[in-house]
Amino acid sequence: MAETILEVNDLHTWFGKKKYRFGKRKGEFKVYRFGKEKGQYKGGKVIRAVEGLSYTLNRGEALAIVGESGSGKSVGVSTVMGLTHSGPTTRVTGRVTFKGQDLLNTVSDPKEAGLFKKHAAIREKEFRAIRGDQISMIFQDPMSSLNPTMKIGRQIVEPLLWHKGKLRQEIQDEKKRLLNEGGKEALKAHRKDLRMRNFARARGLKLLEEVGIPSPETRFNNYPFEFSGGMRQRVMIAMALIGDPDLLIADEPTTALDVTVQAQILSIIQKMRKRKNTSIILITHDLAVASSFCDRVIVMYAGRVMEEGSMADFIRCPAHPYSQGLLNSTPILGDERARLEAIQGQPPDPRNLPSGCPFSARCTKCMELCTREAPPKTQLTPGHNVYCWLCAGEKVQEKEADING
Amino acid sequence: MAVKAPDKPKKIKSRSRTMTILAQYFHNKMAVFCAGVIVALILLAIFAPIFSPYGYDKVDYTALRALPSREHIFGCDVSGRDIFILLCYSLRNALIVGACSIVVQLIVGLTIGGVAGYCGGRVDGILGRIIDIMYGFPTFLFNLILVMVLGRSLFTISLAIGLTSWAPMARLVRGQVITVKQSDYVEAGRALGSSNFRILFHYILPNCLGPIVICMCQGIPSAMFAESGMSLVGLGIKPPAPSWGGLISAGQGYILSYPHMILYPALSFAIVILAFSYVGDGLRDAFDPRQSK
Amino acid sequence: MFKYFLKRLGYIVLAVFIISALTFGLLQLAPGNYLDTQRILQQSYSSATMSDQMRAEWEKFYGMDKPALQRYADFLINAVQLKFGPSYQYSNQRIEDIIARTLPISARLAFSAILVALVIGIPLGIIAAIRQNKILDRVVVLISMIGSSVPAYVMAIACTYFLGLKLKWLPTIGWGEPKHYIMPIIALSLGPIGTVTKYTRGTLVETLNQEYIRVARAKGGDFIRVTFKHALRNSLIPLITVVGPMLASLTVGTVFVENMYAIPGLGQYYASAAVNRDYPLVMATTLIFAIMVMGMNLLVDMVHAFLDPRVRVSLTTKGGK
Repeated sequence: MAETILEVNDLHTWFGKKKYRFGKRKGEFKVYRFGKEKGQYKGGKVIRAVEGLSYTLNRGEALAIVGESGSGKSVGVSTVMGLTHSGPTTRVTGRVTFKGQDLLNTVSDPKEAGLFKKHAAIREKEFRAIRGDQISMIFQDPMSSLNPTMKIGRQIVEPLLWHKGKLRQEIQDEKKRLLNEGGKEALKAHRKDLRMRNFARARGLKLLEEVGIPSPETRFNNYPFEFSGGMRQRVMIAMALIGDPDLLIADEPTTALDVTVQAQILSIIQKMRKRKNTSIILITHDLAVASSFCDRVIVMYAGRVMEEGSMADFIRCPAHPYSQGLLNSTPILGDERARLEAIQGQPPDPRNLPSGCPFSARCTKCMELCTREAPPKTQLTPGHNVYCWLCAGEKVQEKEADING
Repeated sequence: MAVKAPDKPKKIKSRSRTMTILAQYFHNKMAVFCAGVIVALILLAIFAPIFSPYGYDKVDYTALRALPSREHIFGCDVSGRDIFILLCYSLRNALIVGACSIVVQLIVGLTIGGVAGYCGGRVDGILGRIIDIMYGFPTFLFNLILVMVLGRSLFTISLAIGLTSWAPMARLVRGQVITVKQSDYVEAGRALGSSNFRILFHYILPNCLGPIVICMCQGIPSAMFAESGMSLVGLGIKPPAPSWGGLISAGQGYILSYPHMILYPALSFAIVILAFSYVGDGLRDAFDPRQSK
Repeated sequence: MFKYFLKRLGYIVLAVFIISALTFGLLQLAPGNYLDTQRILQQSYSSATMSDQMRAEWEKFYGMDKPALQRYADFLINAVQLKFGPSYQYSNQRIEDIIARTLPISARLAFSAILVALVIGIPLGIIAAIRQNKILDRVVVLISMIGSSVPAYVMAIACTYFLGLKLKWLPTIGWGEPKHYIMPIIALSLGPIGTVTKYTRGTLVETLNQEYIRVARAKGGDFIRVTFKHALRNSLIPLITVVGPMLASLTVGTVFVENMYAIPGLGQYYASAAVNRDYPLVMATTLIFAIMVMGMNLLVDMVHAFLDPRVRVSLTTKGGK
């Protein structure tokens, strides 16, 4: 029974450079200004990092978000986490629902903008309760993601200690269990272990062992610089999973590591997922990594979704030219081609997105229509959608008729 | 349904590094303003004494300790000399001292730091220790001693200041040289067969330029400060040549009765040093490769 | 770690040795000596000149009849025992007595100034970093710029003028009661306050942009926890490295401030000694100052190593800087 954990609807994240002068009301972008075109926004060019991202994620599912650098995949998930939120230089619109709870409080009616600040404060506190506890994230570069002057043991345990409510609950459960098993003597014997800090520490040690770090007792008190890159990433995983989150977001966890370590890290993530039935969002630019254990995939380009579907469908018959290009450019062992096929051109400047399909400039099968209008969503098979005029079928003819007639 | 070929990629405009740095600098309004102030001050220092009727070595008995008026913008000092012109002369002297001591610092610091960084090994060990020792030096005290020994002309003062405060420059240069020396592009250059000379001048020096410029810009106010401190104590430029510290210490005695004698020198001194500090900070931010938020 | 400490200590001894030799050598080269300067200064008041015999006696009293190297050796031997002999100007006092009397005063002044600077500067810097680019930040930055650029004696003058003379809140000269401390400390500490604030703000802003702060937020950390536990700890560490040079510049500042407020501290004696060519006093004070500054730098480095585990590692393993 698939239970929907995360639902993202039409998410937009835009960045600008507006600075407020003294006296003007501090806060978000003047929302009503944004409805109009770029030219009328006084602050300068707008970076449309994410445009119209939508997906659903079920419990236990693994979703891969694939795209080049600058395609908006990282910004998308940091918006879901609430790390990127509406503010003086950022605007977020859309809906994100996590386990039924609305995470973003976005305002489309300018008159409500005044209330926004009060809403935002409440949201941040609730967000903090969720972050680390129910949604946690692994970041790309393990070198810089750990505080260099703090022992890693302490950093691992922090998510537990910062969500005291849950910790207390777990300690209560543990107490009950001990009571049932060994009666009051057992409770007394393990009294020290039931203190918050020690409990958390024990948990941390257990997790270190699970992620495969040898001699966790000593390692618990080490500093980050005493670890190698792969080990650091494992520490990050331990840190993310210590709270038993429902959703784990992995933002390019293996990009900074070499290939052998890559496989180990992925297997750890896979193992933890199977054990606790955690949902996973895996962000990567490497299709091989994505295909290794994800069920579904979303391909993003310049902030927009190009194609989404189950991994099997995607690998078997990618519909979008970009997806085809990605798959073609992956080197395969035993391949006899002399040259790798790369996609010509560069990703577009996010400040100057062309109208129509963002991939039109590099697409080998580009049509006149592609440069004019953004392609609509076309469903190829249930669960497999593509945003391309080539696959749009009759809609293209409709459009042509519109233009000519 | 025509298939369109993809557009040719547009030519990307690029900026030279100097231009990037200048552009970044100009974002900082305060720093630009202060740079303008400094330019104005330099012009003032050069031209005001030339065009003014007042000198610094004649006693004007009619205007002893005169209050600020239309003729004497900042008033006069004990000997009837116009304070504004005195300040311009002192500015001139201070700038000269600043510039000369910077040159001395540059010569000594660049050499020692460069040699230490480039040679490495034992040489670096010894020179590095020397730099560290110089860092802990009581520089001001040594300034005084050196001036005692060498005499009290502008040149010797700047020499003294330069000889005691080259340590930051040397350490900076050494650090930069070591960093650049270990970088990949130097290794690449060496693999391509560049001579040592070329590596030094083509690769290493341009990359050290940034921190050196910043150090120079921060060294000028400290040199001016040291010079004025020496005048305050009594070991600065020989009177009647005007000097800021001398003006301030002379005005100290009249602080209640004729406050203008100390007010204007102190205020102008503070402003000049402030301007240099802002410029130095602005330069440091401009050279920073990270884009500021 | 201990070995490193000993090594540094050794360097200090070496440095002091070099400094003393340099100073001694320089002073020998200096033109003009005490007697001649005094004679010239006194000439306008009295026609008395020193007879040759008086001069010879004076020189014998101060041991100037021996050759230079021997004088240096004598000086060193005496210095190690902390006996510096009588000063030229104050021939009735021994230098070590002068130092013993005045050094605590100057030290007290300098340390109070640093303490004040840290206590005020760090919170100010934190506030500025948190409210970056808002009005409060700009104001604090301006104040810190002024503080760190304007030299100590200008501050002292401003303080004297406004607090002492115009408002008559504080006495301008005098020494002994707590109220005499206030103005000199204000004047002396404004510079360090500016530096500390600027530095704290700078490092905190830089730290807050680091990736691990983002990670901490992603773990569910609230604002206070993230700022104080993670960011502040890392940004205060570089601050320690600034305290050392600040101390060195404070020794300079005390010279002026003592001069201005007529505080009987070591700086004042040094200034007059330098002007009057009182060589023994100059030598002794230079050495004392040098030792103090280098000792403080060593202390600061030790504290730095204690706080930052990375520095600890780089110091103890081979390779170092």
